[in-house]
Amino acid sequence: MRILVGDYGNVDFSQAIPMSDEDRKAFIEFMKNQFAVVEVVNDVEQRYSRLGDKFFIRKWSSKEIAVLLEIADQETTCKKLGRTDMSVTMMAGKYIPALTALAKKEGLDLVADSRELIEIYLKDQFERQKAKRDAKKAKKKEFDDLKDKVIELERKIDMQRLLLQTMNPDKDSKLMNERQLIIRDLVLELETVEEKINQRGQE
Amino acid sequence: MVKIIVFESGLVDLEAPIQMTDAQRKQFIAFFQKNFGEVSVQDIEEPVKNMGERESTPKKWTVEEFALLLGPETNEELTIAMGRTIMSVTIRRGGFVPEFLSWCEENEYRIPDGNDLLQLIKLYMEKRQ
Repeated sequence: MRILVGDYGNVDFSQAIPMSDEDRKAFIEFMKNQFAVVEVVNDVEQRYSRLGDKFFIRKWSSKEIAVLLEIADQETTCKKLGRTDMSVTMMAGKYIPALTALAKKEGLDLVADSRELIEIYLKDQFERQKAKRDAKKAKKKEFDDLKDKVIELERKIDMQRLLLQTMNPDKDSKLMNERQLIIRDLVLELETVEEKINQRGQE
Repeated sequence: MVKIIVFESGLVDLEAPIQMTDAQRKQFIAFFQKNFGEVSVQDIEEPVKNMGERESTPKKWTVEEFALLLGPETNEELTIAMGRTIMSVTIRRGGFVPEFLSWCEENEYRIPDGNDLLQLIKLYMEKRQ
């Protein structure tokens, strides 16, 4: 097996490594001892690009943000997360304002109350994300309901028009007028629903 | 996070290359040498993000500006207040604040307000030098 070592401190395998169950367990354990946040995943496609082929970007998880917000010098944070100075600095620069604003709002000290602050912050983030997800779901449901409504109204209009064609103008003129009014109302309702769909689509 | 990928075939991989300190890298290589026998190490030239050439005159950061970095204002608000770029504020905030808080914790200081905060930052700067 070959280990790739980059000139900027990144380490990679030259290819996926065959491991026995025992080796794999030992490797995962080893990595967990080295880094603060380690996750084992299965449902991922094989990776062909290796260190040196391109610039890799690793997404930040909420567990990593929690480590990032703990009070520690940068070297320690980089080591715990397996990330570069710049990656840690940029992400800290992004998240610190939320923490300082929260400290001010809650009347907490950034140093003495740091654990409490992080807890409140992460809880708040979790609730915000949940609210965002719920709102997205509700929006999608509303959109789907509107589309169903269009189908339903179109069917009703077709049905009314079909019935209208079967009527005799000499005999059923009153009934025909009523039906035409029904069709007019249904068309108006359909236009309103379609307008709503357009608006939601643009939002 | 460090993601380890385990394939059904028994192959194991990393999701992406991992940044390691010298000590971590040595331990990583030693782990594989111990468990897998023959291991070769290949040095690689990493691609870097090119920011492009730009002319800029660095503006020295004042103690008052460092104090603002510890405040509740957003990076965007500080960008306007300080007349600096968003990148400059984000990088300085991400670099200074954790180091300063870590130093305060080490010395058991709370974060004071107003002039006391400026004094504490001055002390931090002196000690750091």
